[in-house]
Amino acid sequence: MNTLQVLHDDFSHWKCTKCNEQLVFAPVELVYLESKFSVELPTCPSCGYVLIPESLALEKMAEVERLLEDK
Amino acid sequence: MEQHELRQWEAQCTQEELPHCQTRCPLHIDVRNFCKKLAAGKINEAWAILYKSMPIPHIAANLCEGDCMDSCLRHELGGSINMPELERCCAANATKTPPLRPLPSKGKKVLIIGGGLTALAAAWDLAKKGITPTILSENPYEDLASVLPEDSFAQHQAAFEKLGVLFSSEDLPSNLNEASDAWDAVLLATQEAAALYDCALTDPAILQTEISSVFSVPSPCIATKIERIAQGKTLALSAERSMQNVSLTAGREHEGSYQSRLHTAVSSISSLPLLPAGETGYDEATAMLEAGRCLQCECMQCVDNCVYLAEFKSYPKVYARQVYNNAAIVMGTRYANKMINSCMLCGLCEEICPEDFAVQNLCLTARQDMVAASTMPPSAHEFALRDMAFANTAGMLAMNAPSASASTYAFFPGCQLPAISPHLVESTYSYLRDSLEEPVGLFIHCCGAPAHWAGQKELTQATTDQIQKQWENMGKPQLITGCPTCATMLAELLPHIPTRSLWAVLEEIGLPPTARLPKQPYVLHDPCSTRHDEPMRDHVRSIASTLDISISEPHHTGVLTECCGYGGLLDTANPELSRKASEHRAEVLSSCTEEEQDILTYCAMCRDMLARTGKRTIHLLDILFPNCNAALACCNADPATIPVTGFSDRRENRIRLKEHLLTTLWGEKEHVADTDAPTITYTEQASANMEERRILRSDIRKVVTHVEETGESLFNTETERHVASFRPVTVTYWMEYTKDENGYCIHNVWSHRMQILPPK
Repeated sequence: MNTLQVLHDDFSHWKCTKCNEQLVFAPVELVYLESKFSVELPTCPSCGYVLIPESLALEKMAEVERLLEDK
Repeated sequence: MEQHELRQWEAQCTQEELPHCQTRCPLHIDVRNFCKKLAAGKINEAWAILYKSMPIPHIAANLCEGDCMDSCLRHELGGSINMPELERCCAANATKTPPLRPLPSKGKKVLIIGGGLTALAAAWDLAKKGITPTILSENPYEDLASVLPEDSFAQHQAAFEKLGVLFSSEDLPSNLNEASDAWDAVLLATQEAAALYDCALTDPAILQTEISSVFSVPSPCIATKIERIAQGKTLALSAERSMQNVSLTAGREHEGSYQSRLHTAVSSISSLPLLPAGETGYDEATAMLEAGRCLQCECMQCVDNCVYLAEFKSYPKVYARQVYNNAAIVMGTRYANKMINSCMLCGLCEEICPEDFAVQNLCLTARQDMVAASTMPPSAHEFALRDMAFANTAGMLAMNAPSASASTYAFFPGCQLPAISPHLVESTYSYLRDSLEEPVGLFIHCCGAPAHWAGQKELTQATTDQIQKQWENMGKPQLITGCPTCATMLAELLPHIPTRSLWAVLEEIGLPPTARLPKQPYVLHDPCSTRHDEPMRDHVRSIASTLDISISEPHHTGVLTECCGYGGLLDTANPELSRKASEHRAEVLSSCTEEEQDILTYCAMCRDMLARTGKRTIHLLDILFPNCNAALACCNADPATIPVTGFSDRRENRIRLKEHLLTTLWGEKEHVADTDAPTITYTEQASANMEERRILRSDIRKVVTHVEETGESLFNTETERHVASFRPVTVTYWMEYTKDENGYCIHNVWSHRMQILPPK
C-alpha cells in the first residue's frame, strides 16, 4: 500500500503530553467502510498518538468519507 | 425498484411530453423551439427546425394553415401564436438553408402515381433516404407555382434536382399488380388515383392496401394542405419499411395528430394580444415579437414550487430514472444518494402534480431499499437517529397522572417541544390536568418519524413497539398530541391508538385564562404534516379566531403548505438545502402581506426552523401560555425573540424538564449533579462550530473524561493549547482546549468518521 502524503506543514512544535516526545511523521492507517489508506501523519514516536488537524478532518478526510459512502 | 415500477413512475410525469402544438401538427413541427429561436432573432436556426421535419419545406412553410393554432394555450390569452405567418416570414427571410444530404442510393425505385402535395412530400422523404422516386403525373405541381413566392418555388426545384426526384408524364399503368412487380413500391398519391385502381386500404393508419407493396391515400380524401403533406410522409415511410422487410406498424402510434398529455399551468399568465400581420406578412422584427408570445409550454409545476426539486436541476421523471440507476450500481459511485436523501417527504408535489406524482413515496421507498441493501451513507441520518435514541431513553417519560394508577388521557407532546420549549410542555400539561376531569398522564416519546423518514423500517417498528408497550402500561389512554408530525405518524403507524390533537381538546375545554390577546396580526404557517389533517388546521384557526387574532394566509397554505426545511431529515442529510428551504418558506410568509407580519405556527420544529432565518416566529402555545416557568431556561419577554435552541440545549432541556417534572409532580428525589466532573466552558467560536458541525456538549464531555482518565493529549508549543480526541462509537471527536484551575476551556472542535489505526 502506497503511503499518502497529505500534510506538508511543519508539526515539530507539537508534543505528546504523556510521553513528552516531539511528533514526527509516520505512516498511519485510516479505515472507513472497508477501505484502508496509509497516510503520513504527525504521530508520537513513543505511544503512537496521531494528530488529525482540523483542516484535514474538514476538507480531505470529509471529502473521502463522502466518496466512500456513495460507493 | 423493478423496471416495470420505473416505467410506471416515468409515465406519471408529463414533463417530457411534446407540447400540444407539436402533437396537433400532422408534421409534428417543433413549434416551441422554432418560436424560441425566432424570438431570439435566430431566423436561420428557426428555418433549420422547419427544414428538419417538414418535407418540401420551401412549399410547406408557405402553405401551412396553422392546424396547431386550435391547440395553442395562448388561444385564450391574446390569441394563438400565428404560426402560418411566422413560417412564411422565416422561409422568406432565412439567409442560410441547411445542406441537403441524401443518403447513398439504395438502388430502390418507387413509382408515385398522381401529383400534388402528397406526391411531392413522399418524393422528398424517399429521395432523402436514397430511394429514387418517380412522380407519374401530367401536372405534378398543380397550381403551386402560381401561389408560392417565386424564390421559394425556385429553391424547391433546385432542392428536388439535387435529390434526384424524377418526373414522368407517361400513361398510367393499366394493371396495378404488374406495376407493383416492376417497381419496389407503388404509391397512389391522389384520391383520383386511388379511385381509379380501386385498391382497398387494409390499414388506413399506415395507408397499406391489399397489395403488399402498394400504399394509397384514401378515396375520398378530405384533408388540409399540411395533412396532405403528412400523408406523403406516411406513404414514404410505409414504402421504405416494406422495402426493408421490417414491421410496417411498430412505433408509429403517434404518426399524425394526437392529443398530448403535457400539463401546463396558465392561470398566472397574463394575456398578450396577437400581433397583426400586414398584407405582406410579418417583417422580421414583428415576427420576433409574435414568436416571443409563445408560452414555451412545459409542466415543471412541482419543480417550480419545491426548493428540493429545483435544487437537483431536473424533474421527477428524470429523478425516478436516477433512483433506479442508483440502486442498480454494483461497482461505482451512487450519485443520486444525496438527491434521494434531500426530499422533505412533505407531499406538496403530489398535491400540485396533475398526475399525482408523489416524489415523497419515490424517495422514501428508495431510502428503505438503500437501508435494506446496506448502501445508505452512514452519515446521512445518524445525527438525527442518535437524537431520537436519546429522546427515547434519557429524555423519555411515561407517567400516569400524579397519584393515579392509570390514565384516561395522556399528553403526548412529541420530542421537539420538550427540547425546544420545555416550559410550554409543563404549562400545557398542567392546564390539561386541571381542565379534564379524568386523569391525564404524560407521555414524552418520539413518534418514530426520524426512523421512518430515514428509511429505517426495523427501527421504526422498534419505536412503535415501545410506544405500544408504554401506552398499554398507562392503561391505554387517549393520546393528546401536541406535535402535528406525531399526530400524522401515530395515525399511520399505530392507527389503533386513539388520539386527538391538543388543539381539538383545547377548543373543547376552553382556552386557558392566561392566554394573551395579541393585538397584532400574524401570518399563519401550517406545518407540512397537517397537509391532510384539515380538522387540525381548522381547530388552530378557530382558536386564533377565539383569541381575536387576525390571520393572513400565504399563497401556499393548508393542503398546499410548504415544509420548513426539517421534514424528511433534510436538516441532517443536507443542511445547506435545509437552510435554503427555511429561507424560501420565510420569504413566502414575509411577502404575502404588504406590511410584514410575525409568523404564527403550531409545530415546535417549524418555529425554530423559521426563526433561524431571522423571521419573527412564535408557537401558538406561546400565546396560550405566556408565563414562563422561571426554573426553566427560557426567554419570558417577547416569544418571537427567543433564540433558536441549539442541539446540545435541546438534549439538556429534555433532561431538565424530565427531572423537574419527576421532582415536582411525582415526588421523586432531586437528581444530584456529579460535582466531581470538571467544569467545561466553550468560547463563542467553539459553540458556533459545534452547532455547524453537529458536535454535542455531551460528545466533548466524553473527550474530557477520556483525557482525565488517560492523561492523553497533544500540546502545541506555539499556541500553548492542547488537543485531544475520543471515539465513542462511529465518530472521532477532537477538541482544542486550555486547562486551568477552573476547568477546561474549549476553543475549537472538529470530528471525522474515518478511524485511525495507530502505527504498530
